[in-house]
Parts: sequence; structure tokens; C-alpha cells
Amino acid sequence: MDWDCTRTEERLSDALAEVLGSEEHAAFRAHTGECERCRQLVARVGGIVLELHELPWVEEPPFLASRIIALTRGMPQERSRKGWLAWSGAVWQTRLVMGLVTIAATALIVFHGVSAGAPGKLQFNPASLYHGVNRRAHLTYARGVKFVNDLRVVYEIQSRLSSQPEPAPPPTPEQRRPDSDALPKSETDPMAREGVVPNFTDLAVLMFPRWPQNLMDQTCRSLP
Amino acid sequence: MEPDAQLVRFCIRGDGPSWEELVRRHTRRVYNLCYRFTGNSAIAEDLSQEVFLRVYRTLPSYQSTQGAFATWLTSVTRNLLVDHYRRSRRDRLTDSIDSVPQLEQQPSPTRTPDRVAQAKELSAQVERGLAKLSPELREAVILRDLQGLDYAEIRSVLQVPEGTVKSRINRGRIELARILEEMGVGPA
Repeated sequence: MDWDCTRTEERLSDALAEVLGSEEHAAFRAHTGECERCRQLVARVGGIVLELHELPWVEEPPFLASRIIALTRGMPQERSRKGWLAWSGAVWQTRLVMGLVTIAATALIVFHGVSAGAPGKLQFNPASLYHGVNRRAHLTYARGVKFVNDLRVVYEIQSRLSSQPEPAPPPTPEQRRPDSDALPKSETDPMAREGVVPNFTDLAVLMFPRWPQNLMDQTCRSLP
Repeated sequence: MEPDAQLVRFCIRGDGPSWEELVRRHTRRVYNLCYRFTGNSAIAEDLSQEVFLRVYRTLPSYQSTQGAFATWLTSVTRNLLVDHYRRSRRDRLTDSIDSVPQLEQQPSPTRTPDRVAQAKELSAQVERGLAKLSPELREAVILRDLQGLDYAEIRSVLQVPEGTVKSRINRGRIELARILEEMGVGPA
């Protein structure tokens, strides 16, 4: 077996630990017997290793352990997540949260803004998406307006503002119906008075003069 | 004596005396590793405290099935030493190789006065030689020849293949022998 100085350096630790194979060991012994440089290297390194092994451990400063114990007293430990809970740490990573929010927002826009009755490619046409979202936004706004208008307080304010009826002249005896001491229905039931109940389409036209007529009609028809 | 893994389990449940036992049992090992690597007792003391603080916080992550507690502890210490080495790299780069700080004399275990003096001298010389080794060769030699870890444990600590471990130890020893020879230190 060929053995040179490079190989001696490469296998020096194995040679010192006496774990070389018999053939390798023989080649190693033969080479170091002839090569003065390798023989000195083996002697030097072998001696250093022995001295390293015999070096005593340095003593730690007194009270180091006590100081460490005092430092860690009352300190919280990190909880380890085991088993099926191990993945839960990932939920709190910013990237994942942002990704989930983006996906949720996209799904909301895409599926909420498209009418369910028009399946097919058209649903994902940007123009359709826009019209769907636009229509839904207007409907929502119109419903809101109607809800506000239907509130009793608003209704009463509107009714007082819209018409301040002239005080009616006292009814003549012939005008008075024999069976009624009460007021006429139009006066007891405010909903029955003409001109007091707001027409929603008219109100919407007044409030949104720039809306196209067809969109206005469509919006008003879709209201419950 | 309770095995380390048992003490760790008690510690995780909040048993203070078990943690104290673990600290007292391993302080010297950690301090020696830090001291041999840095060559400075004050830094080694600070690093030892830092190691145990980190160990205490992350104790629940230790799995006894993955290896001995001492190996895990050595691994944590080594990672912290690498962090420390990186932090102070700039300072070291500006230092000349000849201006390695004088290593302090440490008390050694009870021996005869002559032997104590020889050991102190040799220890100081070896530490000066170690300080001149590259960090990766230094840690390999320290773990093998001063801490007494076997190849598998060193592989686990350094997270490198066993062949690389052997190569680093071999090169580290040869380099250390060359450095000590240049310093005029020969084997006894």
C-alpha cells in the first residue's frame, strides 16, 4: 500500500487512536520509520493530544451556580406545543395572517359581487364583476335609505315638513255624517293621507339625480 | 442520583430543586467550554449564565430521545459561543494575531505544587495556542480533547457529518501542534 506524508496527516488521528486497519497500520509504520518529518509530526501531535486529555478542568467562579439559580428563579419557561397543536404557532406568523386576509377579501369580492343566477364565464368577466358589485352597493345603500325613512321619528319629521295643511273650515251639518262623531279616516290614519306617505322612487330621484333611470327602476323594484 | 432526563422532566413541571441540581451538575462543564473557547474568565462567566438562562427558557423543547442532556446542553453552549464569536468578530479582526490577550491563571484541582505549576503553565500555553486556531477547528479540538465528547456527540453538537468532525479534529490537532511548536512549547 502506498503511503505518503499527505496520507499521514490525513489519517493521523486514526493512527493515534489505533483504529487503522492492519494493512494501513503497516504502511503507516513503514512510512514513519523512513520519514523524519512524519515521525516528528506524529510524536508532536501525539504528545499534545495526551497533554490536552490530562489538562484539568478549570474551576468555575464561586457562587456561579447560585447566581444562575437566582437569575432563573420565577422566570417563565416557553411552552412546548406538542402533537396536533404543534402547527398552531404558525398561525401567528404575519405572512400567513396577511395571506388569509387577502384570500378572504378576494373571495368576498368575487363571490358576493356576482349574481348566482348567471353562471359561466361571464361571472368572472371584470365588467360583470364591476356591475355586480356596483349594483349590490347601490341596493345596500337604497335599503339603508328606506330603513331610515321608515323610522317613525324620521317619518313624522318628514310629514310635518312636507305639508303644513291649512286648518280646515268647520264642517257644515250636512257634510257631517250622522254615524260618525269621529274624524274622517284620512285624519285618523296618517298613512292614508295623500301626499304624506313618501314615494320612494321620487325620493330616490331627488336624492340621486345622477342615477340612470333604468338603474333607479331596477333598484326600486328589487326593494322588498 | 437521578438521571438528567428525569430531572428535566421534573423541571418542566416546575420543580425548583431539580433545576438547581441540573445547574450544579453542569455548571463546570459549561464554564469550561466557554472559558476554553474565549480564554477570558469574565466573558466565560457571563456566557455560562446566558447559556443556563437560555436552557431554562427552552427546556421543554429538549427531547430525551434525541440524545443525552449533556450533549443538548453542549449544543446550546456551542451555538451561544458562535453567536458571541460573530458579535465580537469586528474586534477580533482589528486585533493583531500577536495581541491575543493574556490568559488568566485558573486554579486547578488539588495536586502537588510542582504539578500544579506545570499544569498551570501548560494550560496557559495551550489556551494561547487554541486562541490562534480558527473557530471551527478550535471547537472541534475542545469538544474532543478537552470536553471528551465522542465523534457522534460532536456531530450532533456541530450538526456536520462525522467525516467532517474527524477531519476538523485532525487538522485542529496538527495546527495546534504547529502553533505550540512555534511558541516553543513541546510535549513533555
